[in-house]
Parts: sequence; C-alpha cells; structure tokens
Amino acid sequence: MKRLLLIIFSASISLSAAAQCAQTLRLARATYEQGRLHEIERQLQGCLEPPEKGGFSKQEKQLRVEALKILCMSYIYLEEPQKADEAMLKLKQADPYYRPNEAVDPAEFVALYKSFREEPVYRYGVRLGVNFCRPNVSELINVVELAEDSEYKEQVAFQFGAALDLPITLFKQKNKWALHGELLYQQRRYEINQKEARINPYTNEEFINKFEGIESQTALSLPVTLEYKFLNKKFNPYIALGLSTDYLLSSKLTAERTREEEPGVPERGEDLERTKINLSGLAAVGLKLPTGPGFIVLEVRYAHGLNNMSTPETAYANQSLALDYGYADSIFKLSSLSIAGSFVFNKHNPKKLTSRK
Amino acid sequence: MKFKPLLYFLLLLSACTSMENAELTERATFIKTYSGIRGIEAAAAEITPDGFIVLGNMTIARDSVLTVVFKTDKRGNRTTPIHYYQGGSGNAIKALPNNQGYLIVGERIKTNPTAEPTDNVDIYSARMLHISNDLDSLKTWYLEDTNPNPTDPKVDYKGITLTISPDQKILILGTYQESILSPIRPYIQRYSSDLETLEWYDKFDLIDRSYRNTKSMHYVNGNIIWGSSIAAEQQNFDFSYVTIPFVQDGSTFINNSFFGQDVAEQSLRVNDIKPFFTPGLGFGIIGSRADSNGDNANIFFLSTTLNGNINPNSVRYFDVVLSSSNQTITETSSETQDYGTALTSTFDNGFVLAGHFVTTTTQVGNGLNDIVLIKIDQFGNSQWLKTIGGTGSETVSSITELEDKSILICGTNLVGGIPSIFLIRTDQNGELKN
Repeated sequence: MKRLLLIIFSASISLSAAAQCAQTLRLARATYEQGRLHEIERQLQGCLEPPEKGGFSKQEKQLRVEALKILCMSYIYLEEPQKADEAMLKLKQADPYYRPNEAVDPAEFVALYKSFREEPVYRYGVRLGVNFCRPNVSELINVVELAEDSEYKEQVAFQFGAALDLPITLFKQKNKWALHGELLYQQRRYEINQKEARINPYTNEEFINKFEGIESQTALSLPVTLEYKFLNKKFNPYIALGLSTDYLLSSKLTAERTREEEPGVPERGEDLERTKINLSGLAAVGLKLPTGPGFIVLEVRYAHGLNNMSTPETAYANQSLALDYGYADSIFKLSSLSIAGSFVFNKHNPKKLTSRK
Repeated sequence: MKFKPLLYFLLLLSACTSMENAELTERATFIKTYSGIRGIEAAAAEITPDGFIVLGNMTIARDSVLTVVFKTDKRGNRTTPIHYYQGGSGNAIKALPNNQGYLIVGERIKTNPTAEPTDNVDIYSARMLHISNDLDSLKTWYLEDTNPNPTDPKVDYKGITLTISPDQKILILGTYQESILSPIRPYIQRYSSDLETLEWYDKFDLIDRSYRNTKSMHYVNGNIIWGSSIAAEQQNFDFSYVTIPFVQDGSTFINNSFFGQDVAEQSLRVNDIKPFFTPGLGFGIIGSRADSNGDNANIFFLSTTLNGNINPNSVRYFDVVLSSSNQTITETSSETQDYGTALTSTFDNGFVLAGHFVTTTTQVGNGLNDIVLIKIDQFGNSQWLKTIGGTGSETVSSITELEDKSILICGTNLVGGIPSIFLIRTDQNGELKN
C-alpha cells in the first residue's frame, strides 16, 4: 500500500513538474520577445535539468529543444559566445536532427548552428539478405566424361550480421563517401549437375548418368567497402568497391547419382576439404532511404572470389565421391551475388568545428 | 555517363565461368571411370603413342559377352567412343607390329543345348580379334573343337594372354580342357607378324594337373616365360602351388621352377609376371596366398632369374594392415583378406604391387574391396603402401609404370551392382595430388 502511494505521489509530482516547465517555456518565450534576455537563463535553469531532477520529461524533447534555442539566442545577443556554444551543444545533443529555419531564425543563430558538426560520426545496424553463389572454375577436373549440359546452378542462401558505416571526407567531398564494414554469418549453396551419356552404338540410343550435388558452406565474412554517393537524391544512391575476408566454417556436399535403366547411388553427405581463409573483391550498388533515426539500406553486391577454394592436392581427396559418384573437385573460386537490406542507426556526437586556416 | 559504374559492374558479373566453358585440367594424376551401355568390366590397359587403350567386357548373359575397347589420351580423357565387339570376351590386348592395329585374345562361350548336365554344357573357344588403330573390327577367328560328332566330349579353349617377340611374331598363351573332368592345361600359338600364318601350335600336357596362368607372358632370348598355379588336387586351386613354365620357342619346357609344392594346406594363385626394369635381372611375380579354406589371404611376391628359376629368398607376403609400417610378415600373418592381382616394374628396379583387400569397418578401407598399392625395392622390401577405394568394390586388372614414373592402374569399380571401368594415374608415390 505504501509502495502504491509512493508511486502515485511521484507520478503526480512529475506531471506537475511537466506542466510547470511548459508554463516556464511560455514565460521564457515572452521574456525573450520582451528583450529581457538576462532573465532567461534563470527562468529556464530548472527545466533544462534532467527529467529526474524536475526538467523537461523525455516526451517533451521538442519543448527542451525550443528552450535551449531561446537560451542560445539570448546568449548570442548578450555576447556570451561560450555560453551560446554550450547551449547549442546541448540543443544538438537533445535533438541531432534539429535543423534551423534559415528563413525565420536569426542569422547569428544559424551561423552558430553551422559551426557545429551536423553529420553522424558513424552508423551501426543489422543486415539480412540472400545470396546466390557460383563457382568460377579455372581448372575442370572430371571423373566421368561430361555431357554438354553439365552445369553449376546458383542456389539461394541466407546471410545476416552487423553493419557499420563511417562517413568520411575524401577529395574535399563531404557527405559523398563512407567506409562500410560488416561482420556476417553466411550460408552459401550451389548445385552441381554433371551428366554422362552412355550411347548404344547399334541404336544410337542415349542413356544418361546424372550426378546431382549441392555444396553447402557456412562462413564468417568480414567485408569492407568504400561507398560513393553518386547522385544527390533523397534515396542516396551509391556504388561501392571493397574487399572481403571470409573464414570458412564448414563445407559439405550432398551427392546423389542416378543411372538411367540401372540402379543409382543413394544420396549421401560428404565433408569437403576447402581453403579456410578466402578473399573476395566486392562491387555493389545500393540505396539509402532516410527513415527515423537512420537509414534503410538496400544493396546488390557482387563478390568475386580472388583465391582458389580448392586445390589440386584435394581434388581426389574424397575417393568415395570419385569412385562412387564420379565426381572430383574442380579448382574454383567462389563468386556470389547478394541482395540484402539493412537498417543502420545514426550515431551523432555533436562538436564545435574548429576552422582551418 | 551516370550508368558507367553499373556497366563495369555488369561486366564483372559476366566474367563467371561455368562447367561447360571451363578449361579442362592438365594435371598428371587422375581418377576416371567409364560406363558402358550396361555394366563393363576391365581386362587390361596398354600404352599407346598418344595415351592408353583399354580392354574390357560387357556381359549380357553367361554365353553372351561383348568385348569393349576404347582409347584415351594421357590424361584419361576418352578419344574414341566405346566400341563393342560381339563374339566373345577379351582377356588381353597388344599392339601389333608394323602399325597393323591391335590383337585381342579371349574366349567365346556357346551353350550346347543337347548336352547332358554332367557333360560340357558351355563350350569355350579361344577367340582372336584383330582390330585396326581406329578400333574397327578387321578379323575374328577361333581356336575351337571342330569335331562334328555331337556325342563326343567337346574340348574347351580359352585365350589368356599374348606377347610380341623381338622378331615381330605374335605368341598367344591359352588353355585347353579336353572334358570337364580333365585338367586345364596350357597351349601356345605362334603367328606370323601379319597374322596370316599359324607357324607353331603346341599343347603342354607334361603333368596331369590343372594350370591357372598369369595375365602376362614374356619372350626372353628365344624362350617364353609365364607363371602358373598348379592345382594339387584336380581342378581344385584351394590346394595349389606355383610354377614358372619356361618354354623354348617352337619346342617344349626347358625349365619348370616350383614354389610351395611341399606345403599341402595352402592356396597359391599367381596372377601376373613382369620383368625387372633392367633387362637381364629376371622377373617379378605377384599372386595371393591363403589357407586352403580361403582364410588368412595375403598378397605374395617372388622374383625369378631370367630363365625362370624362383629365388626362394625373394618371397614376401603383404597384408594391408600389418604391412602398413613396412615390416616383413610371415605367410600366415593376416589381419585383412588381401589379393595380389597385377604388378609393374619401376625405374629403380623395384615393383609396385597392386591388388585389393576386403575392407573392415574397424581397421582400414572405405567399403567392400579397396585397391592396395605396395611399392617394394629390388629385394622385395616394402617401401610404401597406399589404399584407394570408395564404398563399392574396386579391383585391379593391370598396372603400368609410365615414362614419367607415374603409375597407371586399370580395373573395375562395382557400385550398386553395376560395374564400370576405371583408370587411375598416380604419381610415383601412389599419390593423386598433382
């Protein structure tokens, strides 16, 4: 019962404080209009304290911003630049997305605003997407004689992870460049279809032996790209180039062999020997749609494998695959096309910019 | 110009290569398998100027076997279609002199429908098939029982192997059996180099026992040498010993060295004989030794002098588990069932022995029969042992050391009840790594 009373008491004090600060803001607004600038600091002092100390509540962010703006302008006109800077810093900390209205706001206030860093220092978020992988075969190693339509096919696989954006200035261009990094857990899958024709020379009848395999890999991927916003549009289109370092966690081949008019070889899973650390060159295009406290990012990215995932030494390492299924590991680099969406939050750290001479 | 980066991006995408346009490997070692219309089994592989020629058989029914031949390049890629020849099976193939193509020896089975079950129902005839370099069939002829009297017992003939003498004569080793209760004995035919004339034909019936002959024979200074197992009991090779027939060309046995004839309770089956790399050192022989009930099967090796005298100190036994640490074992030391089927001499005057072993889940192997390769030195001491195999059954028909010291193995791979032929080329250490 005592606890309930305490809660009711605290809530009523808080509500009363909020109503009081709104009232105080109206008073400060009038005081500013009347030119009694010296009184404003004292009037707003209590309301600019943290909410738990009786200041504006978290829901009254806009009122707090307005109070700080009035305070800042009063310091400007009182020629107290240091205090004006402090007020502006607090304003930007309270609302990093606050923008002055240049048509209405005093020029001095706008100028002070512009002397502070506006852009976020970095962005962080999560990424989710799908990828389609395909081996780039540099050396085809086959056990059976392959018929013409033997092929690799991409299969869809998922990827997710964390993303980090670091806006940077390059070639004196602000808001154009960003360094982007991710840590992704990636699945990769692709299908191997090998066909072998058995031809009856007497009738020219053709019987087909088929090898159907799906290689599934999991990897931790650390891609780093340099992004360039190439159009000043609202949706922030960009291109990106970069590198990815991947650590392969597992690689497994599910294999099955069918033989027309003859019994096949049942499906079986076999572990494969693969290079553990792999590098890829990256090229991407994407959009960054501003929304709320960050961006929704949509990106199409091509990763071109730079090193071989398999080696000549391991081509026949799995003899069961070779002799039972007629499959040997070709020498290949793995490339992929991914389509991913991410949401990144802006992380602001307002700061007075020092002018360079 | 705004889309220039996108264009580069698309170009990058199109740089992918698929299986169809990928460069075929130029690696030296490989595993290749070859499937026929139906299952095909390997008999032998021989070296050709630009690769290999492979001989096999496709069995439709017991009395309907087709000979199968195809050529490959040095990397095992087929350079001809698989050719099927009706009229019997093939056991051995050799290139004929003067670029005349190839001669295949084997046999044909004809069932005698009027024969009593106790009679010779399946009548075997030795079959010779001459094919061109392009693998077109040129001529087929048979060595068969021509006795027209249907009530007389029919003689079986089987063509086993052949060799070409330095003066380009073609020598064929076969067996004949006068009735189903008679011993199986060897015969030799000598043809002129153009195959037009049968110059010599002799049957060897010195002893009243059955012979099981090696898949190779050799011509040495006017003599012919091969290896045989001799059944200690009539046609029962569970009690058998080894002999090395040494026959003068156009004449009779001049030497007949024996091994194991004093041990009653063992089976010694020889399978192949090959000369040492250095001419004049003699021959190496491989086979399988087992107890008379088939237990404790081991690969055995022995060497002979140039005129076929067995060197008793050269006899070695190999078991895939016990010999893996290159230690010497006795004939009855056995962890796995091992069978020696082919051998090749190596440039260092050693041999690589090839065979198969029955895999055991607890010890070694991938399932059913796997291949075993054992490198030995000139004195029969083991240098390395390698196994190759899948979950099916792999058995070796022939093994050959190539010019670059790599090793070509030809055999049969039985998976899901369907046999196919394989060629495996390893490096000189039996590895498939480059």
